[in-house]
Amino acid sequence: MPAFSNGRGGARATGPTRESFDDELENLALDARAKLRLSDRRGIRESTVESADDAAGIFDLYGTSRESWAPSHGGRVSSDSLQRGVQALERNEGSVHEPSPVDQNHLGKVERVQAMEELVPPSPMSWAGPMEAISNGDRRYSAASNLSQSQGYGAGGRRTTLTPDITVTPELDSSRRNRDLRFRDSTISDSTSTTTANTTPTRLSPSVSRLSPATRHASGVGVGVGGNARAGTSQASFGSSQYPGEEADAFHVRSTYARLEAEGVHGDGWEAGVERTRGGPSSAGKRATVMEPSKGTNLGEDEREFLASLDRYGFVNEPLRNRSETRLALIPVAPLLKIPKLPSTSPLAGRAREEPSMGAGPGGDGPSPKVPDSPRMGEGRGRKKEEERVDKWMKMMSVKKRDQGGNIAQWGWKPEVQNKADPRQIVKRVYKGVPDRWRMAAWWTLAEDASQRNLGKGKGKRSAEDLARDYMSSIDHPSTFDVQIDLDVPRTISGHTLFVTRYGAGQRSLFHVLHCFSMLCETCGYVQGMGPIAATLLCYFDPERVYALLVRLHDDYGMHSIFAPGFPGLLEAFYVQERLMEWLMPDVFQSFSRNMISSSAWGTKWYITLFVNTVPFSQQLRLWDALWLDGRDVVIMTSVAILWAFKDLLAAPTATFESILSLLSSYFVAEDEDKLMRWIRRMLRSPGVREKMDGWRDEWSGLVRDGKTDGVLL
Amino acid sequence: MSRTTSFKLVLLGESAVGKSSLVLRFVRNEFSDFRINHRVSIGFAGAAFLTQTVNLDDNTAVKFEIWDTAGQERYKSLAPIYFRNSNAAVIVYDITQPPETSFEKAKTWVRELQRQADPGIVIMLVGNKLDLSASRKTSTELGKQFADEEGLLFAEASAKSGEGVEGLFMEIARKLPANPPPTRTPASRQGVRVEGQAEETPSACNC
Repeated sequence: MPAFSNGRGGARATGPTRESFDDELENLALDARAKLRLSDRRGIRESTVESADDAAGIFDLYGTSRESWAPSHGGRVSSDSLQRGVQALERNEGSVHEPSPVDQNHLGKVERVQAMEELVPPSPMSWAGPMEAISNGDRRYSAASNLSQSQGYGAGGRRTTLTPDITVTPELDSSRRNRDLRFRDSTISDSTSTTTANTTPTRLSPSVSRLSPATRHASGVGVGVGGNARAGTSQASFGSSQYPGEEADAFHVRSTYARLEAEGVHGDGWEAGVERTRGGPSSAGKRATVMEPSKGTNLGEDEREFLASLDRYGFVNEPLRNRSETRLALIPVAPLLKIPKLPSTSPLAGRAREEPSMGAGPGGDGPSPKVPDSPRMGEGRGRKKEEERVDKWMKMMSVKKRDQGGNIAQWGWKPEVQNKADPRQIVKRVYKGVPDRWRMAAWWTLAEDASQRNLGKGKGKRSAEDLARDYMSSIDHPSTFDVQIDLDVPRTISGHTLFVTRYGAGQRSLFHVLHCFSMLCETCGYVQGMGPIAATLLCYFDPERVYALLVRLHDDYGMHSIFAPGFPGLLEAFYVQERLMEWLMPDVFQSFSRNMISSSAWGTKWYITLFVNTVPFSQQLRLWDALWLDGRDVVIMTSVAILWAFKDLLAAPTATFESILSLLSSYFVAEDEDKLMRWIRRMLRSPGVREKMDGWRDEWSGLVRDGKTDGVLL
Repeated sequence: MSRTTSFKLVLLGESAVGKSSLVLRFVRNEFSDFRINHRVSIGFAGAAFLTQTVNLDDNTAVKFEIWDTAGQERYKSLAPIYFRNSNAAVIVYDITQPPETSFEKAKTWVRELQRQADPGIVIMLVGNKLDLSASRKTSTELGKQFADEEGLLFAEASAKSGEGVEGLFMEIARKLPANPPPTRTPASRQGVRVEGQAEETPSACNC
């Protein structure tokens, strides 16, 4: 059997020129569909493929060889899996067209046009890993089920079809792989190799694809149609080829994620995995053999143990998980029972700001907060209440749109809820906590509402479907932030089954979402801190929806100015927060002034990551419930709430620079999260408060405009 | 009766050179491989604040108030807030990277401090990941030479093995004056201004 590594060493540069590609693209676009179904496939192939050498050369770009399933590496593929592949092929006999890989290529070329017309490509999240194994009824709309339901969005119908029409598949698949066809030479050449690698290429092509781990890794029913195509067009089509000007490191990162997206990763969801990108392409040698995916066989003892230790959100259930480097602080409930009134004038009006104290201050450590029994306390609370709320939410929301597969594509409020005399019902319910199984529907709907409200205020808004398409089409474009994103992906969210495996499904989605988001706004690019936000969303949504929600945060929730260079939105938020402090707790404000505690010293992380890793996940979710409803004011008011709860310690005469900063750098656990949420809600609903906050924003803008911000912030 | 003096120290350096790991080793004598221990990098957005006390002798102790800053270039604009009042700075680079990457970045941090920080600031240049010296790409001599030229302290260390970590902080502690310089002055607070603030107006998104 000829191996496609035979021709190794061919130069990529000998591929078709860009101009000829443009011409060809035009031709193809003209009679795309007709041509696609022409029987004269060989002719097309001969016109585009230069040499087998080209094809093999592509593999060198990846610095790796296809050791896991490529037939050319004889002996690596077990006869068992080969047989399975053949069986799979036989099952589909009759329904499977037999496209040569070249066809897939050409389908790929015209996909762009078609994608715009009709297709939302399938979710790249074809992983139905361990979360599925432990999924329970409680999770109907939460993380676990999202993963398995992910096909439901967009082209879900196609995805779950039992007799996949393979000729369609490449369109679907490649529509997210290549937008700029001028750079598609790799795929072209690559097809030859697949062809030459198989003695009966047209017949074997689908079956080979079935041998790829990705295929069997994909969720059961659909037999991973997307994965098929990806594997079928073989390695070089993972990601586009290297762009001119794209750095080798960045390309290595991008293509590695793309390849593993197709191959899958062994032990996904519970094993640590192998590092392949840190340190650049030279680290590629470390690549481990891709093993048989464990899905479908019995769980190993280690895996079972790991999965059993997960909490309801998918985190490793370890009492002090991830906290040993951080102090824990219990947010006491007592102060939060009192809702202060904003006085009409600042109590500090007319008084000079306190001078900073000189010297090192008292030698002692200053007052310190109570330490919670466990960073996870309170998580078991209210589960019964949550059960009751599930029904209430059922009565509040209804299905607004289904996709062609019958899966729910969009939720909406029931008319009677929206038109109700008391619009505060939604507010109350949201602040009481969205039941976890409703979070996906509620957050999405609230974000769409916010976007609707902002319509006309900015540029024309993109619909969620458009955004999903944007995501798919930008996934194979190079981003200058790829290397930095790759550094941050594995350390973004700790101890969660979705992200625990290097290059596992969650990490890949995280990379792809951040990669695409980094190209959304030239001003913002990628900023450390986006990761934790995206990771939280990935616990609930498909990647393309996560992307859409990030865009909403950016456009409609003021995160653009938070992420922009110089963090202008952050400074504005600090200004508003400091005014609130000054009015509500002047003694704390003065203590900060005396001890030279600048807000940026402790507040940056809160505002940029929206309290991820600052409070327990369950409490972070509660804050986010409110955030989707009330926007950025929630973040400010939450910060103020924490200061309020600790005001006695923070304002104590014995408080020092160190004691204050140590306290505010803590990991916070609310003694009673309901009371915390209530405080935030009551404050934001107090008459005039939000207007005042907007007023302070205007004030700050004025100061910025006049260049008078020096020394204004603490 | 021992006497404790507090000093502010800021960690600077490119992303993923091991700033947080060094400080974690120093403060808690721990090393965390994030892939194994499921730990989140602490200086991820903004900066993390930690403290650690070292005893110089029976009578003198030095308490470090440490700012572990985020490494991404974008956060550079916030860095002055942390280093303006610092008595010491640890600038970290990765010896397994070629000198034109993280070592070069370390040099720019030195320039930045020379330009903006307190003139009396004690600067320690640290080449981290000494445990991986087999794949070293930045030589000891290069670091040493630059440190000598600029009058910096210099060390190589491994946050993973712990080698050299305690020592480098001890060296800083010994170099610090017995009495802390009065950095917390009203004058210095006037200078705290986020870089680029004036020209960065919250503008409409151009995307």
